[in-house]
Amino acid sequence: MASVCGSSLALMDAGVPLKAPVAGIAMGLVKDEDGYAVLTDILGDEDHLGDMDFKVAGSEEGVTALQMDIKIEGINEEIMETALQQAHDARIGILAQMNAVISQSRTDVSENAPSMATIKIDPDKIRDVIGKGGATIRKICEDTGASIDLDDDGTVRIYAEDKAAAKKAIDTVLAITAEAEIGKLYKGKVVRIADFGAFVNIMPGTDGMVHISQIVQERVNNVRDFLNEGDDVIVKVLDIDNRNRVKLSIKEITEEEKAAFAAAEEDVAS
Amino acid sequence: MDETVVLCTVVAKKDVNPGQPFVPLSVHYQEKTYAVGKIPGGFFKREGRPTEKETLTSRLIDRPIRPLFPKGFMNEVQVICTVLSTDRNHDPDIAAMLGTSAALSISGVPFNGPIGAARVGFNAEQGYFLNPTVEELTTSELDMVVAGTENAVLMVESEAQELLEDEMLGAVLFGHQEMQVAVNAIKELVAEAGKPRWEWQAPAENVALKTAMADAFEAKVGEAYRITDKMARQDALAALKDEAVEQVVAAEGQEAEGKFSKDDVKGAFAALEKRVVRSRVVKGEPRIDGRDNVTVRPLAIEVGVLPKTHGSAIFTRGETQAIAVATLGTLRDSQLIESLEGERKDRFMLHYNFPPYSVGEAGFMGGPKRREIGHGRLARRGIQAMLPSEDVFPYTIRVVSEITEFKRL
Repeated sequence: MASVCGSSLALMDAGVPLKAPVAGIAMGLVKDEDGYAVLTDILGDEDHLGDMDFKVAGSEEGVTALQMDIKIEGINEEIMETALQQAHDARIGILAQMNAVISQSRTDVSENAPSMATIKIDPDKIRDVIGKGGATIRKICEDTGASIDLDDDGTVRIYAEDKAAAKKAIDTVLAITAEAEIGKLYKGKVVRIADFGAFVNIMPGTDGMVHISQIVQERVNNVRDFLNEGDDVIVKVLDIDNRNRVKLSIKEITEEEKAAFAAAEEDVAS
Repeated sequence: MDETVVLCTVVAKKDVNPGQPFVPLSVHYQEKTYAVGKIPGGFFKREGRPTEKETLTSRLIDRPIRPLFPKGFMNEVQVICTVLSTDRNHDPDIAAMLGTSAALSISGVPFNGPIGAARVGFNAEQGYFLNPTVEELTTSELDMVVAGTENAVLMVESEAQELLEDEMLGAVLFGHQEMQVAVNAIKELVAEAGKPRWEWQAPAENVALKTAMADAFEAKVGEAYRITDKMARQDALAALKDEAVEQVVAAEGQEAEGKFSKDDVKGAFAALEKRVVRSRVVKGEPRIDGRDNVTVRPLAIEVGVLPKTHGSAIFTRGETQAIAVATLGTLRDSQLIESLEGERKDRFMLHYNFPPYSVGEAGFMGGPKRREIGHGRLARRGIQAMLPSEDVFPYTIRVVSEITEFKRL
């Protein structure tokens, strides 16, 4: 029964939000011709001497477990009632002493505890998170050390060694599942150059295309005069067509927009 | 019961192994996967060592029948219950208990049964209900198994969602009342098919020895039990016991004839001790360690004692101490439980360890024993109802309770 008390305390110490603390007590009863006596908190071997032993665990509100072993006849309702009442009093007393040490579960789980988070994504995006043959999800898991469960309804459960790793994994998933917004500016990286323009990766898993006519105001003969693979560029989303192809532009960005974007970037950085 | 079939067998040895101090009863409850039309998993495709459920049910059957063997009956008895068929919606434990009761009752072995057994459920709308199905238990605030004879309740094992003492007691009485149907049915069976009773006589009490012991030592033992310090008391009692062996055996001078053997004297001394302690308790005298009847031993409580663990506590009550350690894991760490009812995931584990050093012994270290599994389950029952739901706290939780000290006497 010490295990019940100890477990309740350890769980609260671990930040498990128990509905209420629980204590346990072992009781005994001896009955002979002269009468009976109920013993609170029996020692290990007092129960071999007794005629009934019972163990009760519970919260302040009520009983959560009751175990009884009775060896004789004649333990009637009245005796049991007395015994249970005496166990109740003892339990309340123990709970008070436990509460003096820790009365509420710690609000946060230990720093060492694995962190776990649940986020909800658009179910249509699940395959983006998984990637080709699971490549994307595997990469997230490798990079962050987290493991990820996906449900069909878009529930994503992220388990990680600690909080930082969980956050990193969440951010990555959110980035993958984020939708490009028309009119918004993104910082991207040029991934491929074609004759007709440049492909820019604006979010993990999302590439857009800057058409050759959208690079600068002047006419461009060769994309490579302005952009090369690996360049960082700021682009604006012009349109997303019904096949989810993202049209980007560099020349459409106004100075004001550029300044606002830079300021926002700095905010994030600081 | 319905589509549940449990084969319950009893074998009792006709002769006694001399020198056995306890009732050599063993109960084995085993579940066969064919009972639900499944082939066991694993490489060997056979049922392996007992599952936790089997161990716990074995204990459940053992507890109410053990006190019903007459005092002094020391013949080896083995009960084996085999679940042959089950409908998945009923726990076969009640059927196994009733079957064991019936088998013992018709066997002719000295047994003061029969017992009945019942599972009791409870909720505010329905009140108490009898033998709920696995499904019905999900809406029950109580899962209680009661066993008893016609006249007395013998065993209660239960788990509840913060019910009041009165509600618990009501359930015990309800269960006891309802099980009488089974008790009567078994009685009818005995009348019809019972084998002749063994002609067994309880060994005559050695009155001469008892009187001799009481005359010489009752007062002294009484004195010794007033020593509240455990070590000093144990020393005093051990000394008295040696004295008793020496005096009584020598004084009578009949050891050669085997009248008062050393074992007899030791046994009589233990009986005397028991009598002394019991009579003191009923008279309301202080207990072995000096407490009165309602006082809990002094508590010492500490939390957060182990730096790298997720949660820890040391709980000390008198000379009993438990170190409890909580570990959080992800839902993937949950335990897969395979049972006849099907597979399920369990996200709460409570493991109880009772190492030999806790009682000052050097003993065998092996896997968890029946007792440890039983105590762990009881502690788990105590905590279970207070755990947050998976939605609120989506972690797998494991608590290990290491008993570091345990007071026997």
